Amino acid sequence: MAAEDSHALTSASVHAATARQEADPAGCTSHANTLPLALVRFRLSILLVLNSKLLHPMLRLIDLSLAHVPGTLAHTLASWRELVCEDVKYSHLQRVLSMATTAQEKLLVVIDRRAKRPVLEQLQVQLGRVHASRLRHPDMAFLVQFVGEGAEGFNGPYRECLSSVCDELQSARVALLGLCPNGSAGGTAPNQDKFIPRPSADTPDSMAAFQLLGRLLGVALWTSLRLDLHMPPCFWKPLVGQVRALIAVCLSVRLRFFVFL
Amino acid sequence: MRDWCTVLGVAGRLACKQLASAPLRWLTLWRRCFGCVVQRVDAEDLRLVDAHAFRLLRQLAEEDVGGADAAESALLVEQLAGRFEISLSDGAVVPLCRGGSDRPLTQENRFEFSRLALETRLHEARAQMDAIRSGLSSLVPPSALQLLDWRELEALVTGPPEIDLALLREHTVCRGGDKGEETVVERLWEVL
Repeated sequence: MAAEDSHALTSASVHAATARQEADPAGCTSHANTLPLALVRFRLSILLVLNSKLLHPMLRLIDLSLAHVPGTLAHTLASWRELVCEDVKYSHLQRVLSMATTAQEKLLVVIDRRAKRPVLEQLQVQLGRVHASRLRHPDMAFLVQFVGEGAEGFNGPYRECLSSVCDELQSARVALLGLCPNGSAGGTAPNQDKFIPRPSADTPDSMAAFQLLGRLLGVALWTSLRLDLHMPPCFWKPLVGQVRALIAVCLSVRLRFFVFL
Repeated sequence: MRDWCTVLGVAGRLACKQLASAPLRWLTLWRRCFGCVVQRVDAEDLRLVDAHAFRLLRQLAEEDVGGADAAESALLVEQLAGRFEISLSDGAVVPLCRGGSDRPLTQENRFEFSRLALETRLHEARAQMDAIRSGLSSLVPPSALQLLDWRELEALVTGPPEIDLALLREHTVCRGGDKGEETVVERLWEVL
């Protein structure tokens, strides 16, 4: 309700801003530098109220799995994801993950780097049939031992193993990912160093390997271990549900927006 | 709960009204809420991985507003002299519709070709992406990721795009070495 009071206080500036926006929706960045300081402060305070007083305590009550269903609160919230502060998002993610931590022992994966088989394939053989819940550890998802190589502790081999997998994925050794066509276009084409899944890699083995890649992305989120992967936006967008392909969806969003407000 | 939703709605409306005219990052919000460029955002995804194909399809789909455009697209159709099939990013050629390999591309059906081709290219690796998503969701519930922007997910998985040298220096502890080596450390930071 505090938000409503604030609205009443500065309704004149709100109307002014809205009128400017309606007059020139495409050029809304043009007057960014001429905004009065009070208005900027007001915007910031609204954002903070929205995040700290509403979203932070409310997120646990909202079923975000319905984010793809138009008309739900989760859908509306997902379409406003730019308004949610990173802290709120990350603490929500951490809370969800901490609730799913497993008490089971870590798996031991044995990797032979001298063998001809890629590390990815060896990892797939050993992890492929294991239930994903066994990998839900906050520090290391599994333990790694290299055959014929000495190492102190498990952290180093674990990092080395995941690093090798990333290298293999982005090399010709494993034919799962390919350099995107812009890579060979040269010139000023964007994302020349990015990789995308190869559409022809559709054998059951390849699909299992892609699934393992998905698991490794999950492992990176669980253990805060960074993967050296170079992917374009079209790879990340579907994973966070940022895909809107149809005009129908666009119209629905527009209608829902007005109905909801 | 209903009251909370109302409050959320009011605050959201205020935030939207206020931020719709704000710089840069809020522009996306404005566009998304009012659905101005939803389809273009997807087409933009193709440009980001295959600028040549994007340019070609856009050129092909241009309306005959002026004589120059019409002549250009007619020339393009002639040059392509193709069928209703398209080459994917890894070189595999797939038909755009049933019997597409036998259906010639003409000046009349070029709009349909462009639409189908764009759709095919945008979803060319759908099966692979589904497999990746199913692997990811076995470890992290998809609902936990719904609020993230794709850039945030990328940063969480691959790390921030740039290393903050000042922050790194602030948290760096130099151990060992003689007293005279401070200049070496200074030089290291200079080089970095």
